[in-house]
Amino acid sequence: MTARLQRWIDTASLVSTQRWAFGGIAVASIVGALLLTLVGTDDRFGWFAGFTVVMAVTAAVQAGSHTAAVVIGLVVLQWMSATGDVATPRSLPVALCLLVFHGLLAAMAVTPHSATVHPDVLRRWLQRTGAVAVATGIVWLLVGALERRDAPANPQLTLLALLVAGVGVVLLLRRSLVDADT
Amino acid sequence: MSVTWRPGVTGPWRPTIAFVRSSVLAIGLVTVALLSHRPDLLVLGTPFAIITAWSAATRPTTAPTVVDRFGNTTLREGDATTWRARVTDADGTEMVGARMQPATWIDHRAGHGAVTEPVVDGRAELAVAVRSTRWGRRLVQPVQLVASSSWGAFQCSMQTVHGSLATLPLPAVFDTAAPRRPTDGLVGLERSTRRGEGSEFAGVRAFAGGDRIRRINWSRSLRSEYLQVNATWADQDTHVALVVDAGDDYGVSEGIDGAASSLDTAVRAAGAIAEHANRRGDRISLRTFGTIGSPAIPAASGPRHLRRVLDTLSRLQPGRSSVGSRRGGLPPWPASGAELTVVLSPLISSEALDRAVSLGRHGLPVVVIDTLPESVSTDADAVAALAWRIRLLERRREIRRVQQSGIPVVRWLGPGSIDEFLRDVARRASAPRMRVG
Repeated sequence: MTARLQRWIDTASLVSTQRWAFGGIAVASIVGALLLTLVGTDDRFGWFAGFTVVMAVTAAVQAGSHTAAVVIGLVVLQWMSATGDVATPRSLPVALCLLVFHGLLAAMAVTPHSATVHPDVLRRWLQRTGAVAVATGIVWLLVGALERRDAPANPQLTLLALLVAGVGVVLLLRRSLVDADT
Repeated sequence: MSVTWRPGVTGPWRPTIAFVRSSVLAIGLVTVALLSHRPDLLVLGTPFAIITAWSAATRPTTAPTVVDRFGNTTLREGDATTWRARVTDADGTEMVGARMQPATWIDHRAGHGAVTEPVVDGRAELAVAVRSTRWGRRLVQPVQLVASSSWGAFQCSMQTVHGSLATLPLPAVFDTAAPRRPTDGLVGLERSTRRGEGSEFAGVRAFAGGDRIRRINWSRSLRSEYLQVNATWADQDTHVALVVDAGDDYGVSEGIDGAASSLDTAVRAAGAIAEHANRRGDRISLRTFGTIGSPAIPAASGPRHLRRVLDTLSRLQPGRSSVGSRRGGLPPWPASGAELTVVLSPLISSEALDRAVSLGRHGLPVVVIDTLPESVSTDADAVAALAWRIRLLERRREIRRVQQSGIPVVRWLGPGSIDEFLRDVARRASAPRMRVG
């Protein structure tokens, strides 16, 4: 136990300042997302939100684990339970918080603990994140516009689109795994 | 010295957990949004859908290749070199990260041996400064490199091969002002074939570390960009025999920047004396005992020979068997023919003293340099501490007896450590002698 603690302390002492900052921003983005879900509701930052933050910290420490997916799932659950207005503008900042959380953890997962990410790489990530944020904003505008028009849903078309997207992703994953084995 | 690039091993591209996460979240959120008619969930799922599509579209298809090398594979203690890795054929790769495994007596300068570099036009070059802090052979573990695509969605692991760094001892500062005895190497009317300290003019060359100020050729220096000195042919040809006791290593070694163990002191002192003797044009031989193989080098001179001596010193490893037992042993009379024999030992085993006394009885000038650190018995165990105390008392008595028999035993103090001994040798050499028989 003592040896494990010592190893953990040794590892923590090697972690770069930039990585600490990334982890802090990632956790802060989850806290921000949780707070945004509670805006305009009677709910408080309860045990569920606290548990989610603890999980976010765990995910930041173990960036290469599936904990981050669980954290995002918990935030979405909190959002679904707390928010009744489906066209609320708060969905955009929450989506951006989740984007920041995912992006930072993805970067941390492929970077050595004690390394500092090169500024050029950081700039590329920021540019890409900005592009995705803009695209998300456009989607939010479209969703809001459609919601206001109250356009009727088309279940067949939706199902077809989902199937195409799902099959595409499965094929891609399978191809990647086959290539990886060879 | 040219060092070649060594090819490494590259693994396949694999999807990362981040890619799986974005894919699952994109599908899940969009599905739930459509089934439950929650367009807000569609907004939440949009970033993940875009990231998944973006990652898939920019997925690398070719495996990168990696080669690596060290700037120098032979260093002096405290010197640094640069480990470089070159990644090529990395189209679609965004970043390459590498981390060198921590190793004893090796310091890494960039982020504790971890570094990342962006890939530009399918190429990236990584560099980590590596500093060896103690003499010896350093084995550098294979370095793990990870190449990643955009959004960290796919990654490819690479690995370099084992590396080796030879670290030569950094000789301690040493000089002597004592006169040297006239030796059998004096060539009378014939000058020596080697350059060194002497009186016969050999030429003019650029000033180098260790040159005497009085050798500077001022008139030539004024006309040159650098200081020039008069080089002379050596007219002394002393054979300096170095005998190193590598049976055990006492004390704590903290590398070049900290405390020195007994073997550290012995190796650095031997290196210092060898460099000093080489500068004077003397011949140097090296014998070791107590270590595996007991490497030995016959007497010779010149920079190449000095390098050979330092290289052998850097390979020394303390013997493993107990004190006083047979540990490789000193070959019979290794220093025969030497005008000066320097034995470097911590003197915990009496073997070095016995040998020194034997050499002294044959009329050879011998000096023993005590390399035991000041504080060596730091054992918390009371019995062990008492045993150490008893052994150190015995050692003091043995040293006194050796000194009484005419063999000087001195502590290594750097410059002037053996001046007294050298003056004594010179006095004895100039005294009248009586031929027996």
